[in-house]
Amino acid sequence: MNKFDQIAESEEFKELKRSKNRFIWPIAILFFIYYLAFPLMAGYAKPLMSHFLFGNITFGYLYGLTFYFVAWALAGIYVVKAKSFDKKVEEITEKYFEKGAS
Amino acid sequence: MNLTYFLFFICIVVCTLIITYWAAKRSGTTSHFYVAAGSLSGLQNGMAIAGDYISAASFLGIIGTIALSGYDGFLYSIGFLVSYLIVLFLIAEPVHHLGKYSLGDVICSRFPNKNIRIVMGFGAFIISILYMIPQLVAAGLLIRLLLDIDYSVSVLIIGGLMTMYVVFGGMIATSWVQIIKTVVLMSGTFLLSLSVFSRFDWDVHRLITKVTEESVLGTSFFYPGHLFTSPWEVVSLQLALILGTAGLPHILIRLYTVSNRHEVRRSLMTSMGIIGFFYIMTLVLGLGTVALVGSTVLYASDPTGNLAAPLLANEIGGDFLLAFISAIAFTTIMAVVSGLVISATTAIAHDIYHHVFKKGNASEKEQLRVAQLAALGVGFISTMFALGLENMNVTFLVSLTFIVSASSNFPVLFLTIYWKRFNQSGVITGMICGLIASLTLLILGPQIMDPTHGWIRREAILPLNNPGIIAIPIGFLAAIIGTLFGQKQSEEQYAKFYLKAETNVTTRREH
Repeated sequence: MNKFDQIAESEEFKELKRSKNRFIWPIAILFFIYYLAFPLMAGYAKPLMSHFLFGNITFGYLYGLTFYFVAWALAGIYVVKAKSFDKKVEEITEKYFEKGAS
Repeated sequence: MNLTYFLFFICIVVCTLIITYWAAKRSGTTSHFYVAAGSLSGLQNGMAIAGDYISAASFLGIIGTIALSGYDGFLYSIGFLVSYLIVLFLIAEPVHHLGKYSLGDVICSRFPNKNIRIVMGFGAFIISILYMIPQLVAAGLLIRLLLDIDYSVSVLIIGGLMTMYVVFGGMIATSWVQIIKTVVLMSGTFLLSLSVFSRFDWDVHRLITKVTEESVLGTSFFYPGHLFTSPWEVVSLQLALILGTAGLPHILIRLYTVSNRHEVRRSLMTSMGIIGFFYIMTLVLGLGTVALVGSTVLYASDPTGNLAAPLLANEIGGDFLLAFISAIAFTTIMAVVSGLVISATTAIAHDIYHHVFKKGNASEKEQLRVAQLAALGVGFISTMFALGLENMNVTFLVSLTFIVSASSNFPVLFLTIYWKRFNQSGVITGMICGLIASLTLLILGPQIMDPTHGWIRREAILPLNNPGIIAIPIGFLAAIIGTLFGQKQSEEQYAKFYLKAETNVTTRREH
C-alpha cells in the first residue's frame, strides 16, 4: 500500500471529510431553500413582497438585496473555514510523508 | 460615423491587438494556450471571470428589463451572483484539482473512458457555440445601431477580432481582454450610477419618487408580476441560473488559469465582489433610466429595453458618454465571445482530437497547431451562423445555454465529485438525456412555438419559457437511473478520487 492509499484510508482523513461535509452541506442546502423561497414568494406572497417597509422601499427589494450580502458573507466564511481545512490536510500529509517523499 | 465613436473603438481595438501580440510571443505551449500556464494571480483571474461572465445581454438587457418591468427585472438579476456560491462551495476546488484543461479531464480523472470524453467534449462544444451565436448576433445589431455600420460588416469585424485574439494569443490574450473589459465596464457603470445619484442630490427617496412618477406602471413598478406570469416560470429560471453557472465550460476552465487552491478561492471572492457590485449597479441604472429617460421613450426606441444604458448615457453625458458606453458594450461582447471560442476550442482540440483520436499521444507541437486550427474553425463557423441569423430572434439561446448546462454538465459534474456509487453509464445517460430533454422542452415551449412570431407557427405545447424546472430533474434522474443499471465501482477507488479532489495530494507529492 503506498502512502497515497494510506492517507485515503486513514482515520484523520475520514474525520476531515466528515467535518468538511458537516460544514458545507447545511449551508448549501439552507441557502438553496432561502434562495428558492424568493421567486416563490414573489409569485404567491405578492402583498407581503409589495409591502412598503419604510419610505418607499418594499419588503421585496430588501429581501432581494439581502442575497448580495448573504452571498458575500458566506463566501467569506467559506474562505476562512477552508484555510483551517488546509491546515489539517497539511498536518495529515506531513505525518505520512515525514520521511521526505517530496 | 462620428469621430468620437471612431476614436473610442480604434482605441479598444488597438489596445487588445497589442495585448494579443504580446501574448503571442509568450504562448509557445499548449498549457499557455489553454490555461495561460496557470500564471494568473487570484485577483487577475477574478477580474477575468467577471469579464467572462457578464455578457452584453446582462449589461444592456438587465438594465432594460429593470427599467421596463420593475421588480421582476430585479428578481431576474439576483441569480447571477448567487450562482457563484454554488461554484465556490461545491465545484471550484475539486474541478481545479482534478482537471488540466477541460471539464472532460475532471470526469475522466474518475472514469477514464473514450466515450465519456466524446460526450463531455460534445456537451462543452454545444453549450459554447449556442452561447456564442446570440452574442454575435446581438453584437452585430448593436454595432449597427450605434455606429451605423452594416450588420454583416460588424459581425465580420467582431468575429475576426475574437478569432485573432484566441488563435494568436490563446488564453493569455483572452484573459487580458477580459480583465480590461471588467475594468472598463465597472468604471463606466460606476460613473453612470454616480451621475444618476448626483442628479437627485444623492437622495434615494427622490430618485424613487421620480421613478413612480415617470414609469407607466406607477407605484406598481415596485410590485412583482410584470414580467413573469407564473411563479413557476421564475423558479425555473432561477434554478437554471444558479445551477447552470456551475456547469458552464467557459467559466469553469478559468479555474485552471491559477496555480493553487488559495488562488482559486481568491479568484472567486474577487469575481463575486465584482459581479455583485455590478448587478446592484444595474438596479440603480434601471431606476435611473426610468427617472431620467422615462419608460415611454425607452419603449418607443426599443421594445425589448436593450437601449436603456445607451439612452441613459446620452441623457446624462451627451454624445461623449454615449460613445463611451457603446465602446464598453463592444468590449463586453469581445471578452465574452473570446472566452467562448477558447472553451469550444478546448473541447475539440483537447478532448476530442488529443484524447479520442490520438488516444492522448499527440505531440506538444501538434496539439498546439490543432488547437489554433480549431479556434480558427470555431470562429469561422459561429461567424457564419451569426451572419445567417440576422433577422431571427435568437436571444432565447442565452437562457437555453444555462438550462442545457444545468441539466447536463452540472448533474454529471456534481455526482462525479460527490456520489460514491456513480459510474460511467450514469455519466453517459445523464449527459445525453439532459441535453436532449432541455433542447426538446425548449422546442415545445413558447420560445419556438408561437402562433404569431415563432419558428414553428402553432400554440406552444409546454407553457414554460424556461423549462429548467423539468429538464434539470430529468438530467439528474437519468444520471441516477443509468448508474443503477451500470457496473458498480469499488469504494476504494472513490476514496482515492475524493482525496485528490479535496486535497490534491497526489499531484503535489507524488508526481
